[in-house]
Amino acid sequence: MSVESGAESLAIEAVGLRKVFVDPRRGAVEALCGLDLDCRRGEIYGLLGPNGAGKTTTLRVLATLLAPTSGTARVDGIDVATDPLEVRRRIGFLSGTTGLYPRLSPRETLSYFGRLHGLEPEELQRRTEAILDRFGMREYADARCESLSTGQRQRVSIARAVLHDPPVLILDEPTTGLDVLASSAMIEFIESRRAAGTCVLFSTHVLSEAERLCDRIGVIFRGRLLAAGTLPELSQRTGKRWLADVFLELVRRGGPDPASASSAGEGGGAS
Amino acid sequence: MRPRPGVRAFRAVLAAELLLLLRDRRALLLAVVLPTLLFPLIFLGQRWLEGASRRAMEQRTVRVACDLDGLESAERLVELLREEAPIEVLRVDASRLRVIDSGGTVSPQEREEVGRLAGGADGVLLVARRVGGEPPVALRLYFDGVNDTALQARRRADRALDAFQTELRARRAEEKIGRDPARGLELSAVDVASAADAGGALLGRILPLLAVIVLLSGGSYVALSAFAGEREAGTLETLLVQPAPAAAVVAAKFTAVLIAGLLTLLLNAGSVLLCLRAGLGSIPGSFVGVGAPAGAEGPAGLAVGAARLLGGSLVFLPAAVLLCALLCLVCGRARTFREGQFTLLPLMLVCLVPAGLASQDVDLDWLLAALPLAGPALALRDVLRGDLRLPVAAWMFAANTAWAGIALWHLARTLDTERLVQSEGGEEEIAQRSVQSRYALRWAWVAVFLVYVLGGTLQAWNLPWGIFMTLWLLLPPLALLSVRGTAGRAKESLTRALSLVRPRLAHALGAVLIAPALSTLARIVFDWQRSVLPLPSHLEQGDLLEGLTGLGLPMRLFLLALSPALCEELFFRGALLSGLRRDLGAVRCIAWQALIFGAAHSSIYRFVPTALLGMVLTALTLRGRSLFPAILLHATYNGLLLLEVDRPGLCWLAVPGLLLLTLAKPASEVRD
Repeated sequence: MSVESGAESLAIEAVGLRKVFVDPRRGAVEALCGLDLDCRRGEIYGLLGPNGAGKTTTLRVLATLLAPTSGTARVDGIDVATDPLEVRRRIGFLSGTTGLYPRLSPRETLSYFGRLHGLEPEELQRRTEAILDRFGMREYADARCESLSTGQRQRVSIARAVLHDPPVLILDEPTTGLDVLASSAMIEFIESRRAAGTCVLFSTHVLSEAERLCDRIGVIFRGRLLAAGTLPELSQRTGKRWLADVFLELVRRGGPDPASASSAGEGGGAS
Repeated sequence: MRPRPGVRAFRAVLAAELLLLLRDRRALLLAVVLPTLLFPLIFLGQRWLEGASRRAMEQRTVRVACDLDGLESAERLVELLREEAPIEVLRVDASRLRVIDSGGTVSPQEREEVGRLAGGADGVLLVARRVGGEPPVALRLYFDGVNDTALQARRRADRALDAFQTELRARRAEEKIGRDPARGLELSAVDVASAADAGGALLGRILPLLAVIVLLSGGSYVALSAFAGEREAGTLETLLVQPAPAAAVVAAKFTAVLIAGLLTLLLNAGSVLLCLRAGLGSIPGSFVGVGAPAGAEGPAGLAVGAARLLGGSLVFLPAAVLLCALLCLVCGRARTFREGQFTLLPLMLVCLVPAGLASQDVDLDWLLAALPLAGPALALRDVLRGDLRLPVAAWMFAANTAWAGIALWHLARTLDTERLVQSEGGEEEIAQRSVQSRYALRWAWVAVFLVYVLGGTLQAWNLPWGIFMTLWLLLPPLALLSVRGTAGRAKESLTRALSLVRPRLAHALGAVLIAPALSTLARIVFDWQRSVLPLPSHLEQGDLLEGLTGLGLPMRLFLLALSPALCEELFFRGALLSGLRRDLGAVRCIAWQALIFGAAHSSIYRFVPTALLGMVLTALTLRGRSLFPAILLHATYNGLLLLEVDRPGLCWLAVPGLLLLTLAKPASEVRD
């Protein structure tokens, strides 16, 4: 991987990311130990791994919610450690635990976050109307969010994350807790981003989602990226046909030392 | 020009917070509007109740039984009593009572005889008793102090007796010297305080306390929803990945809390002022100390000028900022709305103590002025009363602005995403996390209770033996019982769990060296506390140990210096700290120890000095990871106080002492 030459075309690049949490009882817990990651523009990249592997921690570092202990991460060419505000301007972030203000309407929610992004009033107005149409939210645009259904809320959250038209979308287990209808709407949305040239990095432990959506897949385990590539590449490397088998094979190869297994497993509380 | 990102974010967040508050009609109604409407009702209700009970009492027929045999002009007294109608005056024969004289206390026979003659507990009995010397007859009034009717009867009898005495005195004086010698010396009191001063003085006693309560209750809802609630709802994470500086977000949320708090305060204070001015009610009697101007209870007495109210608002402003910042801090650290609510009550109670000083006869001195909340509360009172001294006010304002600044500085770091993410976890995990400290705290409260009940009983029976048994027979077994569980869970030996490990010589020496400074500090704190909270005479230091003066010095040193050092340290810094330090950081350990060690001495007058000692001993044990330095310090400290060694020069020993304590590394790894 050539960092220098590829920097311009890469939407996300992380080199040797380490994240150590200091827990008062357990001492230092290493959630990420030297993780490398790169995502191209217009690419849908799926981060796969069991619970506690470090998926959430990785995404949080990239979204500037956590500062890396060491290593560097750039989003759209901006270093997350030196200019987090500029990084936040260029990303849309959505996680499974994202909530909405119950006493604001979808329109007010969009306007609030648009203002935080510094959109001018006319521009904000134009984008809000466009997005209300695109996501079919017009009929409940002025109802309070507390009165919306789960699927409707999910749309509001997505609209909120893409209102400022970010070049990079970071989605942490976006389909967790959604029913079939809502999660298929989410999958459609992610697919639609490919055409728009947005880089989508999302984590999941639902293998079928990754198979269907991803241009490339990264398998993460115990704070390290075990392998990354297209599904055929990964099949070839492991000699397995189905993603589930590929995944298990990679995990089998990548986890030889049982001593660190417990610490990575416990680190799951933080990731 | 486009506003800077921070300013833009501040405006957006503030507008959203205020909109969210306005949308929550129920909270607005309960926290802001309802109290405002309640004041007139409370005042009216209180007035009606007072009036009704007074009228009912005055209309009630009371019974006064009297045996006035031998009293000069007894008939006139009966006449005067009858004027206090409705009253029933009975003549009885209380000759048996004349021979019973139990001095100050009432014997059972006496009580029975009084009950029979007075016709039950409702009545009172007036007996003229023959005594030797001048005057030949003394009157004694028997009454039942817990019976309202009897108290009313006593009140009327007192009025009649007063009138009777005055008449009698005037007649005697005229008989002896032809005119009343007191004539020309009549006292008539004239209050020269202006109406504004009088009204302000009265208002100054209640307004600080009211202001703190109302500010906290009005601001708490916004703080809870803006910090803890948003975290629980999952919107905080979203907010913090927006291109808005965290400090701007916090500042906007804080401003929303401040606006809500001040608005509530304004509405409530306005409501109270209007009620009082409209004569709807009066300030509760318990707030009006002795010597408060009597005329100030009417509407005319509350003519507090707008200038004084404005001045009051100004001096109270740092306190308002501090209180709202504290609210935000507490709610910012809470993981859920519920957790935030639980933490708010202790905060409110703690804040009421300094604010309550304003309703006491405490002067605003330089030290109090520097204290958070206490200074502004007293200054507010003095402004309203019209006698605030400017230099002290300026100092108060500066010091309290600094306190508010410190709180805001901490607040700016509240929305630290690293911390927020790391402290995530369900309630179960949190409960699991603090199992050791909660176990130790349960034992600690048991110990405080046992010391209070058993120790108190034993010491009332026999002071030296009581102290000996409390220290040697109660605390060490409790320490062992409690530490057994802690050590078991941590898989440690008992001695290790109790930190009974050999200390570094430097730490032991350092502990002894800081003792003189600490005992001097305790004396200063105690003296200062006495100026704020006067000590009842029976608790003065000398009397406290009266039961021990018969003992020799070695015995007293053993009982009051060596034994507490060994036994108390074994329990508090041994067993209790062993549980606390496994789950909590140093600051929380020290705070809990201060609270419990202070409470264990079961005296409000000794709370501050003992809490202070507890803090130092805890810090020492955490630093040295051994119990022995704390034992040495405790013994030396108590010994110095007992021997009344008061040499300020010795305080300088603390300098090398502190150096030794900070420079020398801990003895061994007690923590794994």
